[in-house]
Amino acid sequence: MRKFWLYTIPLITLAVFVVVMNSGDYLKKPLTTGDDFPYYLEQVEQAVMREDWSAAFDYSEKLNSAWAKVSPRIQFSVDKDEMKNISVGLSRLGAFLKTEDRSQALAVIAEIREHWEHINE
Amino acid sequence: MNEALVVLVRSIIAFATLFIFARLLGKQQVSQLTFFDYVLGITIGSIAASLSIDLESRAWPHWVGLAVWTLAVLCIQIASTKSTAAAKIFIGEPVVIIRKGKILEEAMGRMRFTTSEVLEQLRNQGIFDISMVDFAVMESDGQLSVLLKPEHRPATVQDLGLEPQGSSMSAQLIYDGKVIEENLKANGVDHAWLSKQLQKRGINDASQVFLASYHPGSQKLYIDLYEDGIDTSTKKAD
Repeated sequence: MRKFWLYTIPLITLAVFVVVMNSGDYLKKPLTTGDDFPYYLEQVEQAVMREDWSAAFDYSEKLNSAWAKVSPRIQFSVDKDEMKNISVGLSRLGAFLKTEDRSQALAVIAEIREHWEHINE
Repeated sequence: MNEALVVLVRSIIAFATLFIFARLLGKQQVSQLTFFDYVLGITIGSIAASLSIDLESRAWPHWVGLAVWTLAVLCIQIASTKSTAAAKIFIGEPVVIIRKGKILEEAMGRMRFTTSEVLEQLRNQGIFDISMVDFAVMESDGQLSVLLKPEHRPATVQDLGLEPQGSSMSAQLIYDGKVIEENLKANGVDHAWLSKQLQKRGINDASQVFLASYHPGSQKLYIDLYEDGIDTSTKKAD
């Protein structure tokens, strides 16, 4: 029995570590309310496309809130630089929305989407 | 990102993983280090350090690297135990460099081992006169094993024509104030015997004892108390 635990405990420990290190893909999916990052990003993009700046602002606030919820739980399994790039991108997006700069806002949204999709690579 | 928290979690993962992998590789990694083992140890340690604190990349690739290197070492170990040819390739083989008191220059040349290095290794083993050496073997981990000539070897019990005492290992009966029950049973003694031994030395309770070591062959009980009555303070000279 003792030998069983001697092998099982290290195997379970290693399995837990593997799960933690690869949990990014799962944990970045929406798990609670208000953390659907890709959805809000899509909504911001569509609002910017039709130049509905008020809606774009609303959704960008929800986007930032979603990012604040998701980033603490994915930080153990993702690249720090990608997280930083997303945070910087969100700041730039806020500035472009304020100045109602459609092309720059769309470019930044594309950047954020790219970083988001590859955050776990 | 809370970098301190991430480093904490990654450090726990790195530490525990390295501990498990090191146990998997076994004790021979520590005791029989060849140069390659030494380099492997540094590499694996370096990967573990990156896994712990290199936040510029994900933990997973570093962990995979650690696992691959450990697996490679494990495969080498298994191959070496299953095949003599593999052992020769991966571990190398010992080389005789002194035979019947004569230095084998060709063997030393092949090992790129100088005479001063041989003499240094002999001196490290307390041998200051090379004429005392019968055989010397350069092991695969770089250590020199020496067999002295019969007239220079330490006398054994057999040489002196004496009756050897039976050999046995000491067992700890008390450690850190606690009695170790299994060792009492294994050595055929009990609490009553132990209490009597302690009382003979003016000790009332096992909790006063730091270490009690019993040697079955000589039936001697070594006792070390917490309160040794020895002044351990260091005083500066005036």
